Amino acid sequence: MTAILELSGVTRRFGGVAALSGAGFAVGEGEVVALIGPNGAGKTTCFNVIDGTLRPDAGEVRFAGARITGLAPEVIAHRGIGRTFQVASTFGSMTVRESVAIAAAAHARRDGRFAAPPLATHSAPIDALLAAAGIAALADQVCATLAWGDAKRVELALVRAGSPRLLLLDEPAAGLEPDSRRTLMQQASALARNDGVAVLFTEHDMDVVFGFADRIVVLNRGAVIADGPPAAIRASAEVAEAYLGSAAPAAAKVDTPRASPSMDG
Amino acid sequence: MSLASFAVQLLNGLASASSLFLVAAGLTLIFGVTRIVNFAHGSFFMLGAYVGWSAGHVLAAALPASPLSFWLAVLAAGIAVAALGAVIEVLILRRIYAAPELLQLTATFGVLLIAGDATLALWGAEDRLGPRVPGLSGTVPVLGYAVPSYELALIAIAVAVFALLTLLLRRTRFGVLVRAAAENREIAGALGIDQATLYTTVFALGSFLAGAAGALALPREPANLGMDLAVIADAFVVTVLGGLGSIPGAFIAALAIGVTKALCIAAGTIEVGGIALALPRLARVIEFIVMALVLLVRPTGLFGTQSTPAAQSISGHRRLEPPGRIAAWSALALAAGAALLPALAGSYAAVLATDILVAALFTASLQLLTGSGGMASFGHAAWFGIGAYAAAWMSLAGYPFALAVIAAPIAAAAVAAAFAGLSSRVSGIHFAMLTLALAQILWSGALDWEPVTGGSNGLIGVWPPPALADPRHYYALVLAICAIALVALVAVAFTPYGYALRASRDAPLRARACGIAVGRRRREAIWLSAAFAGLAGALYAFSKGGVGPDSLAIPRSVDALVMLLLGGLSAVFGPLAGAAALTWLQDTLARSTEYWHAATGIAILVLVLVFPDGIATLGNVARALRRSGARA
Repeated sequence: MTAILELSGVTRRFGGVAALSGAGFAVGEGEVVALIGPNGAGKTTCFNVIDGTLRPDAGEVRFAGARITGLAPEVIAHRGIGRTFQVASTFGSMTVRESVAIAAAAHARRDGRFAAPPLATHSAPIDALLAAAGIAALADQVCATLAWGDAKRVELALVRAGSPRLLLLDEPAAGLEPDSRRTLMQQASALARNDGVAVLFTEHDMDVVFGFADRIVVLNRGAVIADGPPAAIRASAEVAEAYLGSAAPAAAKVDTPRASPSMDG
Repeated sequence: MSLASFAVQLLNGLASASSLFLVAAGLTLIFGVTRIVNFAHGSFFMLGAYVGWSAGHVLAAALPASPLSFWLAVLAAGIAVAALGAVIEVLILRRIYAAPELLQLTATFGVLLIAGDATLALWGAEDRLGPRVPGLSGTVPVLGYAVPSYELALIAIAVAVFALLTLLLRRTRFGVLVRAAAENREIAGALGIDQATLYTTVFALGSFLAGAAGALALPREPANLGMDLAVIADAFVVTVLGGLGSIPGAFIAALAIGVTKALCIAAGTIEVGGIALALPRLARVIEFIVMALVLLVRPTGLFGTQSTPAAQSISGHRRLEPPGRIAAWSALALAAGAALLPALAGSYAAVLATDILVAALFTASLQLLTGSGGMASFGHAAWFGIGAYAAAWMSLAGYPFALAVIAAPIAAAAVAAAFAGLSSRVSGIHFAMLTLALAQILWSGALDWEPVTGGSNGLIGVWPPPALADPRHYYALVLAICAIALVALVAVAFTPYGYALRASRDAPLRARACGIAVGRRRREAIWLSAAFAGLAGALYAFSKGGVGPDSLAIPRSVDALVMLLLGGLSAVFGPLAGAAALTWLQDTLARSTEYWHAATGIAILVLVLVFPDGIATLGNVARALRRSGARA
């Protein structure tokens, strides 16, 4: 499988704290990878480094073969990386339909046109995007008034409007009831299976992680301590220790991420 | 220049800095806790001066020849203003803490207008000369020069107040509460801090400092009616430069500005590369230049920690409804009515209607920046003034009318594009302050660069061609241009660009992750908005027959904000409604009462308190009526 995303040696400090220290892993085309780890392990920092919100202090991020480290988020989005946020973020003052339409227009690089006809909000592609995300019924609702779960679905539709080749989902299932959780994750898996979109997601719910991930990357204290298929991760003593036992010895024992019990897929 | 005379200038600068610090400390204290940018703080300073003047006279009569009378008057001024501040906080500000920042700002400007006219009514229009301070009326020899001893006393007072404030904030329970509320109001409230009492107390303390500072300023400058705006501009600069909410920041910023001013005056005219630079003239704007430079390097000021989240707090996520069929027909009907107006109502109505249209275009340009773009501007007059001066200068230089009108928006947009590039890292309230700085620098430039701008007289004799000399004819042209420009601005809001700009305002991170170049969209909004404001300025210059520095001054910038907020930040007809309401109100009041500023202030307060979403959002009126009906 060809890797579409590769991180190597990524380090990012906040003051004296290293949120990421030398983290490295890869995601293949069409692969669904879960990024897990205890609170504060560096999952969201990792997302922010990949999508360009944060510049790493060291290391590099490669996407589709090219180095993207330090590029602006909007440039990286145009390269084909879409993301959701832990707290779903939508355009509060717009209707769902308008939001999806402007996301699609931005993807087509039409967001700078001011001497132009009005933004087309009623078109077949936009209806298709709304239908695919299962939010056609919400089309005319103003985003600021969306319920938590609906906001998550709308945000995913905004991301899909950019036809990404890699989806970063930050806790997609958090706060959803089991049914919506399954629907949302099935949507993501379908994108991976049918369209070859790579998916990298963080999640605390282990049922979701083990139910949907092809591979699991475990972060602890900013470093990758395990990387392998779900079965191997489930069996790993080190992961269990990081989650359940005292985390410090587990992290100290690992010299390099790749030295973890041979779990590379 | 000798070292000694420099030292004397320096002491003079430090004395000014001390006065400035006392005002700014109160302002920054109030901002830190309540997050309100308080224009009325300038009024508190002015009222302090007048109360100090009156109290000084009464006390001097009661305690003849006692050195205490002056200091008791200062105390009385502080206490009186503190009481007034507390009343204003309880009656007005407390109701709008949850409102968008700009609305709060507008309300405090309403208070400033009322306070200004109240002062006029109570003390009259003439300047009130301050007393000589018993015991400190002499001079102290410093390096062979005579330095007024009062200046040294003022410096000592500022240092003492700084030390006391620091002790208060660091060592007392009250200080802990203030710092907790400044850090995070919600958590402070959740922990059981009585916010209402805390806010009122802090407001009173800040007002006390302003009032006392006003009275303390009396021996150096007479109490006058222009003090409020003059001091508030300086105090804004000090608080922003030091970092909003930071007392040490205000102290250091006040010192830096005082010293820089003194340096400018002491240096005199210097020659750089054969060009004579009159540095003393720079003293008028040096603080704005210093602030602009600091903000460009440190976007939150010297001691500032975070930028206030501008976008959400300003827009409040109000939805901009695409105009439907009803709106389009109303607009047509309105335009038709406006076209018939001169025939029905004569030429005075045409002059007033011209003013309204120019104001509406100016306000609509601000709506693009602040409404759709989420960027508040306290200096929008900069673009209006550049357009007005550019058109006037071209007209006087002999260029045809049409060319002058076309050049105005281009000139404004060009300056704005450069400004946008420089200010791209600055956001929120700091961006607003930077726009204020720019407007003040241009205002001072207009005053000083006489050969080009005509100085304080401005440029006069700027008239449209003879065919448009009749105000009714000129009105017809303005109506056509403004109608097209207003429709264009509404149209822009619904192009892909308009949506992208609002997406950038609503959720900048989300917008960038969707591939929207947020920074570029914002820079485009700045120069687009400036172009329309510049066009309004050109139409204004030709309607008035000239242009003066007042076209760049703070009140004009604030007028635009007031009209925008009156009309509603996110209402398609908002700028027109707001401009019509304010312009008509000011015109009517100015003809019927001497105190029309106060009447405007009262109108602003009523509208802000009753219709926080603007008068153009009539749905709110209906809803409010229904609610009150349901209650009855």
